[in-house]
Amino acid sequence: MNLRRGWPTLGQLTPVYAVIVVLVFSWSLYRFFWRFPSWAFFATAGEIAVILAYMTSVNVLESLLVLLTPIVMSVLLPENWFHSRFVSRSVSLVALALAFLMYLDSQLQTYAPFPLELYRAAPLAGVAVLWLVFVIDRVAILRRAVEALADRATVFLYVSIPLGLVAVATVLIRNVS
Amino acid sequence: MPPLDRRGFLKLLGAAAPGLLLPGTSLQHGRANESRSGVTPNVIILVLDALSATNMSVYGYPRPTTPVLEGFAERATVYHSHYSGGNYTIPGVATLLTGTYPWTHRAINHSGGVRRGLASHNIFRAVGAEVHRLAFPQAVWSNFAVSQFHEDIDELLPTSTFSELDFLVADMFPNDINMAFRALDDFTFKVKDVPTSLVFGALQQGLDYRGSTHLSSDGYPRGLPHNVNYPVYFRLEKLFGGLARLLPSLPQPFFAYVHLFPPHAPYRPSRKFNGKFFDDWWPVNKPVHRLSDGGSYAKLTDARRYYDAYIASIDSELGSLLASLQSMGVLDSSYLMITSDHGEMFERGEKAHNTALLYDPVVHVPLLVSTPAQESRLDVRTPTNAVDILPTVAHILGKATPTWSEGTILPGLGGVADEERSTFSVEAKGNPAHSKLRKATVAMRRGSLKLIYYTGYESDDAFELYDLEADPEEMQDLYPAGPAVVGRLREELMEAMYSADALYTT
Repeated sequence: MNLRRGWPTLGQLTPVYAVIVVLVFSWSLYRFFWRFPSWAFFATAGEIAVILAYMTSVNVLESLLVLLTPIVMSVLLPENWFHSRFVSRSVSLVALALAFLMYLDSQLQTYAPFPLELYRAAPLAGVAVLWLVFVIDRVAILRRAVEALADRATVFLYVSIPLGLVAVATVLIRNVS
Repeated sequence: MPPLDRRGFLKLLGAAAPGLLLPGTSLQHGRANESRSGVTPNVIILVLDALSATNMSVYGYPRPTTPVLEGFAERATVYHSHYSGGNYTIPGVATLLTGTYPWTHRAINHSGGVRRGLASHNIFRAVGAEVHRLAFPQAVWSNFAVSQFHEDIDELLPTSTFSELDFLVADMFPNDINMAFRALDDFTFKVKDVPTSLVFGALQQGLDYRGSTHLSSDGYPRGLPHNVNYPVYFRLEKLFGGLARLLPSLPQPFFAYVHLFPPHAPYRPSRKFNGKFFDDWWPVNKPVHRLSDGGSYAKLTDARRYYDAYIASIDSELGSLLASLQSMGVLDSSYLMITSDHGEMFERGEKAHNTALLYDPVVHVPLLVSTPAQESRLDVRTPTNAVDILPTVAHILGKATPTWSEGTILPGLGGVADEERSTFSVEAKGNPAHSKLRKATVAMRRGSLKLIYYTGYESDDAFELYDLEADPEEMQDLYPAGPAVVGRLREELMEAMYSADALYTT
């Protein structure tokens, strides 16, 4: 198996990572602003900024982890199955998978029963996601829309990458003994 | 009791002499071991979260919830009118650890902390680096204050110590533990809430659910005890057993602050105690308070049964711990303070302590202190407060009371009982920490009187006044009758509050 042949280029990775970042960061930011009024009651601006730094560092880690999924698939699967249309297939894959996670996370409420059925349904959801990836890939207009959206999402990287670097640096500096 | 030898008699006489001059106490112990043997004693503060003195038989509760502590009290100083600084953990712990009232330290909100700039005003710094300073915030919420003082703590044990299962992550950031705890365990990875981390959050909560449902809850019919809203599961016997091994192994002299989560809800008594209080005793049925949740008497009484059973469970485990510490000689060289950060209430329509109310069940907490080799019981009835712990511990360890502390040395441990002194408990979780107190409840205890002030909840401020000696259940509000003392008490309370607020412009 030639692993290098399946490895995506930077140009292919960028739009995929951008979509991941938009979804992962915006979910956390939504939660951040939901909690913000509570912090405003007692925390200083500096403390809130540090909380944001920790949260963003976690986002950086998880966005990179999510990016690994299409990379691994691209490397391991036959070229025609995934690598040949890496951007559209990867973007569909991560967007649908993260959408499922958003729904799952939204069910994890304080006073609601644990959504065990959703966790149990995760493998089924995975199969459904793969099927949808296949469908989107077969419909040209959808494929082009996915690619166009991903391409436009790259603009967010100009914000999220510097923000992520500052956040990780902040966390590292605060933890240096 | 062994026969008293000459040395023992002289010690007893020396200790008793100042006590004869001390109102409110029958006996006073002198300062520490140091003055007698030249050895600095150890000090252990054992905080049992949400333990109300009202529900403890050692303080006269009809149910036998604390037989072990009743035995312990026979060789300890028992404070009968000890109050917490607030009615939940954040202000309660911050008051105890800073020796200041909530309106000063400002840890008054859920997840709040001690005011920036005051973090150096803490008990760990006050006792000095000459002693080994250990903190074990097993109750997760106590971390909000304890971790603020981590630079003054030699050994900060993770909350997960002696637990069966945990998913806390802040311990991985020891140099920034306070902010890491706030940002990660209390926000990004907070369980039983919509996760902030889209991917890791779902993963963590799935693992938490799987782990907790696969844990054996043998011996606990209502499930394993755990920190509510945080993923830390534990067994009482392992927790107390762990302490029995830990405390004798610490480098001496040491100061240990151990804050255990039980008997905080969820109430998870062990099998032996689970059904213990399904009895015929019924607490006084008090009228539902206008600021309460309006829970029914039957529902509250049922919850109380499990709370009482949980206390009895803990008391039993405490017995093993005390026996172990006794046999290892730890109690011969240590002051042991058993107290709580706040109480718990099952009356007036309110369950537990997330309330605007400050009736005795939620602020009257136990304080029992055994001094090294103490052999007789002392009873202190003068009102005391959690602010007094810091000056007392400092005194025991040979330090002066810090000028910033609002407490005094406890009577019976070097302090003087002062019947004219007022102490305060403050509830202000709905008030911004950076602002004057506009939405708050303040309870002031002075002698046998207790004045409660409510502001910001309704269109008009309100007061209640009780004489706890004549009316320990706080049923007869004396305020409307307007006894002569009311004006003076009200003036004092308002003045104390305004003076604390003077720092704030808005």
